[in-house]
Order: sequence, then C-alpha cells, then structure tokens
Amino acid sequence: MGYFGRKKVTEPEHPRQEPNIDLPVTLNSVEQIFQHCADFSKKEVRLGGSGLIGTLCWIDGMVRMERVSEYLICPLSRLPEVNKVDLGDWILQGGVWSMSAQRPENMDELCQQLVDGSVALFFEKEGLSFSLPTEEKRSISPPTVENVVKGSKDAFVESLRTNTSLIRRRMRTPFLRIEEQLVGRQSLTPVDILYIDGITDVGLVDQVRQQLEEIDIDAAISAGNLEEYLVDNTRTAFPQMLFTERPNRICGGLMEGRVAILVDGLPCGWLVPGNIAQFLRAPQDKSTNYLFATVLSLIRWVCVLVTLFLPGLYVAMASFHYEMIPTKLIRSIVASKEYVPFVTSVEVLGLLISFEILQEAGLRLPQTIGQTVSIIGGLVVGQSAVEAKIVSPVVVIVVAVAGITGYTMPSQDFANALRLWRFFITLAAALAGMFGMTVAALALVAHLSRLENFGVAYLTPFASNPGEQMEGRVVIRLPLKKVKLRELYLHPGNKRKQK
Amino acid sequence: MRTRVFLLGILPALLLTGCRSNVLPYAHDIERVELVEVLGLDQGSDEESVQVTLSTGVRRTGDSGETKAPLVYEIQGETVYQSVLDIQSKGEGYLSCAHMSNCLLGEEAAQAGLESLVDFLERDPEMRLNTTLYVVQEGSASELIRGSTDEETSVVDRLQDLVEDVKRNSNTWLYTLKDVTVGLEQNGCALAPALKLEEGQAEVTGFACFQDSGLVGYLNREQAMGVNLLEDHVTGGAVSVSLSDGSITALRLKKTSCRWSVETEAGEVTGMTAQITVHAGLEELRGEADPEDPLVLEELSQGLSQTLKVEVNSAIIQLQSWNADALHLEEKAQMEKPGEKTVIAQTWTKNFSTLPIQVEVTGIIDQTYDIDQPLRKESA
Repeated sequence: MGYFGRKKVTEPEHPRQEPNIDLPVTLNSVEQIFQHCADFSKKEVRLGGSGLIGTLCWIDGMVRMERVSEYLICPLSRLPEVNKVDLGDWILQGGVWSMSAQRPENMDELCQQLVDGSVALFFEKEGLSFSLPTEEKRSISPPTVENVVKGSKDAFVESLRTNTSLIRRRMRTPFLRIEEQLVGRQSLTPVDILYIDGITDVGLVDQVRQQLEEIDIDAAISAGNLEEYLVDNTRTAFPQMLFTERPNRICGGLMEGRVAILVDGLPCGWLVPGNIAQFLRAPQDKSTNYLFATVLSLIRWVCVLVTLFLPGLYVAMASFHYEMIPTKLIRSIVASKEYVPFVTSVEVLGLLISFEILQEAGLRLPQTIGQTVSIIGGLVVGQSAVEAKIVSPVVVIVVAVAGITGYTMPSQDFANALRLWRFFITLAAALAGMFGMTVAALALVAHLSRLENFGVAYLTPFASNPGEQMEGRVVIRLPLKKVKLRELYLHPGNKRKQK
Repeated sequence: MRTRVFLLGILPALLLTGCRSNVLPYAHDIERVELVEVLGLDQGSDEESVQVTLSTGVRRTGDSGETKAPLVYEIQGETVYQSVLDIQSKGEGYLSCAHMSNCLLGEEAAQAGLESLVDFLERDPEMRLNTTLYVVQEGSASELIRGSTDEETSVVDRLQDLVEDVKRNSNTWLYTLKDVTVGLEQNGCALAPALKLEEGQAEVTGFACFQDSGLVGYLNREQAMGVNLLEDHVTGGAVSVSLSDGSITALRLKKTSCRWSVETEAGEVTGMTAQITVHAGLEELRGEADPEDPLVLEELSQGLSQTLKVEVNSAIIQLQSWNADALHLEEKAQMEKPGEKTVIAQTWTKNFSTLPIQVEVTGIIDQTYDIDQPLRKESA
C-alpha cells in the first residue's frame, strides 16, 4: 500500500502475433480453428467429371443456403472433365456461379471470409472461398430520435453496406470516397471513412485514417469504442464528434468538408471534427424558414444558459443575494418556503438528483412503463412533496424549467454534458453565491476553450483563427442563398459551395 | 496525475478549516430572513442618540393565504448603524434591509439634519438610495409606524396606497433619498413628501422642505400641487370650478407643461416667468350650464387657470420666504442664459427671496361632451 493508494501494477502488453493463425490453408486447419463451434458445418461434394471429392465448409447463419445449393453445389456437380491441376483455376474463372470466388493466401484471410459469409471448398491441396452471405438485416426505418416534419424519413441500419448505399444515393458524385478499415482484433469490425475528394481537407482525412489505424482494441461493438479512441481529449463530458442517425445529415457534413465515419453493426454515423455550434443545430434547421430557424436557434442558445445556470442562480439569489429578487417575488418565495425543513441549496440539489433518477428510471424501463413512472414521479411525487412541505413549489419550478430547457438540445450527448456541469455550477453557487457561480462559469469557458478536435477548436467559430471566422452561421441562420462559402476552419479544398 | 487527484481531493477540506467565513460570502437562507420594508428614524431621548424603528410588511404564510402580523422593532442607540445592529438580536431571523423601500423621518430628527441617515445609507451595502423618504409632520416615525400597524395591516401597505394616491391627486411627489441628497448637494434645498398620522392612518400633507440638511417647514397640499405644476410632476388631480350661473364643475387634470423665461440685467436675474399650460377634461357638471357652449368653456378655462395660479403663487411665496430654492430655479436660469451663468450663481442667493416671479397659467378644456345629447335625440 503506497501513500497515494495501492502501488501501480505494471500492465501486461496487448499480445499480438502476425499472422494470427499460423497454419496452412487446409481443411484440417479450418476444423482445428472452428472446433467446438456448433454453427460450423461441412459437406462433401463430388466435383463433377474430375472424379474428386471436395469438402464445403461454412458457418451456419452466415451464408444463404439456397444460394450454396444453387450457385455452388449444382455447378460443382456438373463440372466437366478437367485436369486436376487446373481445376482450382477453372472454378475461379467461372466454374461456379458465385460472384466472388477467391483463393485465400493464409488462414487469417480464410477465417475472416468464412465469418463474413463465405463457403470454403477444399479438394486435393486446394482451398477456395466463395462469398454467399446471408442478406438478413433490419429494413430501413424512420429515425427514432432525430425526427423531422419536412425531410427524409430514412435512418441508418446496422448493415454498413446499406448505410453507405444510403449515402451514395444522395451523393452521386464519383468523388465520394469510402475507405474501409477493420477495427478490433476479435470483432474485426469494418469501419468506413467517407469524404469527398476535392472538398475535404486531405490532412483531415489522413488524420482520421491514422487515428483509426492506431485503435488497437479487442472489439469495436459500441459507439463509445470509437468515440473515445478518436477524440483528442477524453477528460470532458462534452461530445466532440457529432452523432447522427440521419444519412442526409451525414451528407450535409460531407458537403461542408467534414469526414464521416460509419461502423458496421451500429445504426448511426459520426461527423468529425465537431464543434459547439454543430451540437446546437437541429436537423430541420435547413428545412424550415430561415427566420423561424433563427428564432429557434436563439431559443436553443438561451436554453443552454437557462439549463446550466438557473438552479445555481436561484440558489445564489435565495441564499446569498436576496436583494436581487424583486420584493413581491421574494415575499411569495418566503411564504412558499415556510415549513420546508431544508435550506435552499439542499432542496435544489436534492431535487436535481431526483430528477436525474426519474429520468434514468424512465429510460431503463419499457416505453409504456417508463411513461407511467414519469407521470408518477413528475406529477404525483412532485405534487405530494410540495404539499408535504418537503420541497417548495418554486424549487420544483426552477428544477423543472432547467430540466425541460435541457431537452431542447438537438444532441443528447451535449445535453448530458450540460446536466453534469449544472450540478457543478449549482454546488459552486451553494458554496459562494454569485462569486462561486462566476468562478464555475469561468472554469467552464476555460475547459471548453482547451478542447480541440482534429485541429479545430471546440469553441469555433467563437474562438477561431484569423480568417476562419464565419459570421452568421452559429446563432442565426442566414438565407441559404447568402451562404456562399464552406466553413473555412475546415480548410476545404473547394471553398465555394454555390454560385 | 495522482498528485493532481490528491490536491483536488484535499481542496474541499479547506472549507473545514474555519476560514470560510472570511474567504467566501456568508449565506443567509431566504426562509430565515425577515424583510425590513420601513425604517423609521427619530431623535433619541438625548440629542446625541437616535431611535430606530424597523418594520416588516404583513407576512404571508404557506399557500392558504393566511397572514402573520408585521414585526416592529424599536431601539435607541448612539448611531443608526449601532441601532440596526442591536435590533438583529431581537428578530426571529436575520433582519435584512435589502428590500427596504421606505424611510420615515420624525419631525425632530428631520430638523436635526439628514447627515447621519444619509451617511449610513450610503455606506451600507444592503441599503439603497432609491428608498423613498417621508417626513412625519408634527410627530415621530415610531408613532406613525406603530399607529398604522395592526394584526392585518402594516405601514408598508398604507405607504403603497399613498403612492397610488399621489399619482391620482398630485398632492405631493415621491422623492427618493438620492433625489434629496442630490438636491441638498446641488443647491442646498430639497423637498420630501410629508405625512401625518390622522385617525390611525398615515395621510399625505404635502411637502417637507429641507435647507442645508435640516427641515425648514412644510408646504400644504395646495402648495404641493403648485410645486408639481412648476416641476411638471402632475399626473392627475381634480380641480373644482364654480361658474357664474351657479353650476359647479369638476375638472380632471390630464397633462401640464411649464416653460420658464428669465430676464436679466448685467448678468443678474431681475425676473422670471413661469408659463404653465394645463390640459383638463370635464368630469362632472352640476347645474344648467351647457358644456359645449364656447362661453362656458372659456369661463371654465379661466376658472381653472385662476385656481391653479393661486396655488402656484402660494408655493413660490412660501419658498421665497424661506430663501429655499427647492425648485432649482437657479439651474433653470443658468440653462436659459448660459452666457451669464457665473454672475447668476454669484448673485442668486442674495436675490432669490426678493426675485419677482410671474406665473401665467393657461387652462385648456379639451375633453368634454354633452352627455344628454343622445337622450334628447331619442325623445325627439
């Protein structure tokens, strides 16, 4: 036991060997690798006129069996008499009707292909693979979170190729580049990097590519696996990559000169680099009238301040600076607080925690029960608590307003960060009133100004480099005709986006 | 990293050192605060002491609309600050003067001067100079506060009602402590509303006039109306005018404006003229006079002008008798004749009490109609 806790244990290195499976490409090797795998299947087939018996191997559920029979077994059984030496080449060159027939060079490659839905054929000393994957996947459905009234109704699904096709259908330019990398030693998850050649900064693409290559983890199966490894600064609650489930939003980002990232198995995409203004733009902003969109945007920015500072401001005013409250209001606050046993700071913090608990309970439960819990929690418990004089009605209003304004954030991750900072600011206000709150607000600004993502400051365009300011893009939405240039802090290859 | 975590962890422990009250602001939670809304200041039993009376408003309890009687605390001390500090021990909670909106000054205390009160209010971080200052005529602040307070009403409620009365009647004007302080600083004179306890209720009596910090006298309600006309402070009010045919009318004052002109000779002010225009509406007519008759309207205008002229003249004569330029006429003269500013300033105090001041009042009746006309049409 050291002075600062337990002594640091030296962490073992992440073991890696190349190749991962050092075996020859044979049936025995495959059987050895997939031993104790209930879904591993094999079948012997006669290879037509050659007189040879081949063995087909596959993983159940990953291949489409009708196609195996139709495109593989049937043509194999009808093979003409061919020299045994040339049989492998004959099959690869059209002997079977599979679009993708390969000769894997090593076991790593073959195993990967089997897992991806290929069927392996072994005969003599030859090993071939044919891609016949199952196409079972969830159909494209409307977005669950980012709903819009006026706009497309399709959202990403779990299949990576379906997702890229959704983007291709909108961005028909041949300059749309889709690069793929495998992330995760065990999961081998395909991750696609999308960008538009000629618009996106080459340096940015290189940086994303390099960051992805450097991810050396066992599995990339959740969104956090990617987000936390791709961002530069993880010691923050604020999101630095814009998450979206809407293909058109990804397309919009690509047109701005950003890089999109899609992951197989996750029905969402990310846009990098992210900055604060991006998280406060709603998907429908460009679909609605620019004046209305500007008003909504203004309301959202005001809501950021309200959700962050309102509970703290109330605590500071009620505990330290009651001279700030108008006399009539202070009278009714004092009257409503009579018989409430807790001081204001405890009341507010307690109610904020209760609010978070209710929210968490609502999320974890099935939708129908979740609604019931919300009603019981919000109305029944809230009303009873006020009537029982456990909390004062003003505090309920303050916490509810702070909570509701937090829900106006288009990005859930951003709203979560604000929730966390709201606690900190309220605590600071409880400790030292407006002075504490000001210090907390300064800490927040300092923290945000330190964040940088792929070379772009988080507070851009409030804190951008000279020549990269883009006025009229953050709080107000200009008429689209007036927005001629792309956002310059992204260093786009082609700065102009319209005539 | 571990050192950072350790330092961050130990930082909150600083709050346990007992230094908090010196480093961080000290909290007074809102429910433990008694809001003082009226401060009364009187002369103490001896000349060196002051008597301070603090009163809260009627306190609401809970949501049921029940009320608690206002709290009144009274203490005598050497200074205002000491007295307010000593009263803290008497209160149920922390007595806060942050929402004090009214300050009452007993007649004796007002005669003794405003210095100690103004100095205290200027220095105290909770108090505000926008507190309305009242002078209790022929009485003490303590008597007025206690006399207007019972289980269900407080002096605060009465003072709030008076504010509305002032807007309706223009029989005084609300001057804050800042107005009074600035007035005294600029030309040594200032006005403040005067109150009197009549049948257990505070009533407006006009203006109290301060000169060189001390009280010199009072202007009655009519004179107060005259002052308000000269200062463009009239926001309402009623004037009764009797007509030659015996009809009695009630006129509502709607809008007034006053324009000053100055006559000088070798820089010295030899005369000033106030041209007051009053717009009024006919609110009531008792008698046979025809309200649409131009002759009747002319008579009404003249009657209105005459009545108001008397009130204005009376106020000016009273102020000149005290040699108190509470109307800031010196400043007005200097604004009119900026080139003679220095000479005016040098000769003003000597000349003011005997300065001929003419008053011209023009009454305009611009809102009247014959209410019987529709009835006559119907019967015809």
